[in-house]
Amino acid sequence: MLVDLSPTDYLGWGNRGVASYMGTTSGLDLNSPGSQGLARTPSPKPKRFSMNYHLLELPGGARVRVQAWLDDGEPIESVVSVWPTADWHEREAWDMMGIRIEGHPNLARILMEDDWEGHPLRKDYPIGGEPVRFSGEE
Amino acid sequence: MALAPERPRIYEGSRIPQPTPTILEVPMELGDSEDVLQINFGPNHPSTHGVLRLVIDLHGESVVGLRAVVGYLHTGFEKNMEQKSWWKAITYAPRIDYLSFQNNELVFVLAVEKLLELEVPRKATWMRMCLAELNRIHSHLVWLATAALELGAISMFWYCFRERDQILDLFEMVTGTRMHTRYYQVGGLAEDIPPGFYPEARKFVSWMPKAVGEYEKLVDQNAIWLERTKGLGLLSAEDAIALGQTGPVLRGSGVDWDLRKTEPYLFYDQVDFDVPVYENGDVWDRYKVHMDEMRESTRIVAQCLDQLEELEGEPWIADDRKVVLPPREELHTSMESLIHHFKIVTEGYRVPEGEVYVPVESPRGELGCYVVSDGGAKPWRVKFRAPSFAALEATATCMRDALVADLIAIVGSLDTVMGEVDR
Repeated sequence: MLVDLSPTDYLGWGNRGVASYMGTTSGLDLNSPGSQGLARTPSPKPKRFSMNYHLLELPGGARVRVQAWLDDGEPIESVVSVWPTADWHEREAWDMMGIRIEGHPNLARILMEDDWEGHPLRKDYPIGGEPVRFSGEE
Repeated sequence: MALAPERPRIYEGSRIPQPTPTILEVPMELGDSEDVLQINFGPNHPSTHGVLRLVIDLHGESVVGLRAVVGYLHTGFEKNMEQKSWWKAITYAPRIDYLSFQNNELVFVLAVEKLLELEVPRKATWMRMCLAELNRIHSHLVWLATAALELGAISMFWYCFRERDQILDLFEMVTGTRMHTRYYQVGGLAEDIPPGFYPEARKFVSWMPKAVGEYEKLVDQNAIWLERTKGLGLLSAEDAIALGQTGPVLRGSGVDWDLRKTEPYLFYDQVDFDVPVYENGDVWDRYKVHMDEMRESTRIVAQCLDQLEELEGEPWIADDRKVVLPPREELHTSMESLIHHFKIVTEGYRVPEGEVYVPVESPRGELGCYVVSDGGAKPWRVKFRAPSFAALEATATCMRDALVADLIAIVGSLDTVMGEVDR
């Protein structure tokens, strides 16, 4: 069974030093010195997007996560013919992340309006950037 | 004495529409018929459990085409959570599914704890289980109340909300809030359990099985209820699995699958309960699964209370000062505690780099949380696997050969919460 499909955008991953020094004035590092210290960047990812297919074996109960890596605009094959439940999950991946699914029977937006511009869950999509209707600021 | 109508047997083969599994297309022979009427069912129809729009094609009373349109409740929870520090993001999780808030909170907290490899005290784990099960009963009660209301059993609504209110009173006593409690912290609970909770919860536990009996008395012998639920909305086990169904929908189709048994989290392997499974895959069986689950959840709550009363006085949150806020009284005397408090509140704690997927059995099925951390103070990505999202995909398959009046019973039986579908 295909349980879930989670696309993830890694744009800007590793551009900021994430685990900075966290210490007291006496020089004591509150983080364990081995794993965290001065700015350390996370391990690099092969491409910008990852598609995570969470699979579950019924009734055995084994779980597998299949990860596919994609660049912006790179298409990926649809899996609707294998798992019908992928229909909406793939539409969501297209809507939210702009991942092009090839061979999907009905690749329309699902959560946003049909004429929406952009893909909101991308890292380069601004937060708070969209106009709020009837707010008096229009 | 009511007559139970003859139930058709579960179909063989697949009924999932082709080529798009979620769209029921008008058959060719009716394609250009003037008798086919296309109407919008919703998005503001009271029986769509929120704002679901169904575009249906009617031929007389029968539904010959169906397409579900979702997204009216999209609020961008996942995007918002990426902008908040880890401990603030917990606040968003319960609001995604506003009927099973404790379970949503739980799955996110469990995922973060897995990334942190944090040990949780056993008292907190028992309490989480207790609240998760109370929340399951609460969610099933709201489902039963509204699903029955839509089919004309109005008094059911008042009966169910009577017990629902008792559960909300318990939540209020423990957390100070009736809904969206935000009681789970990473590492345990936000506060200790108040002593008055146990006697009140015991009262509820001894009353609840009788209440479920009352509900069954109200509808189980009711000719209209039987007529409108038996043999409708058929979904075979193979189709249910292909469509990614979980929870009561899957168990109503004869698949014995409950994460509390198969992949026990918390202490579910230490309590005694049964998983109800029914074979026919119709609205009636899904209703029966819900009723039995309420009884089983009450049993689990009773066992949790036994354990919790023995653990009185034990810590309710982990003693890890990098993640957990120090006790309030220490801030007056200890400089170190004050620094920790300041750091956690202003910057937040950091979660090691990694990605996890944690599933729990929510009232609606497998609720999963996929979390990616880059090692910083905010989540890189949070994705919720919403069971209602998958359940709605089954609408087109369940609606084969259905009349427009059955649509309400069938959509209701799938137990969807639109907040969770649209996120």
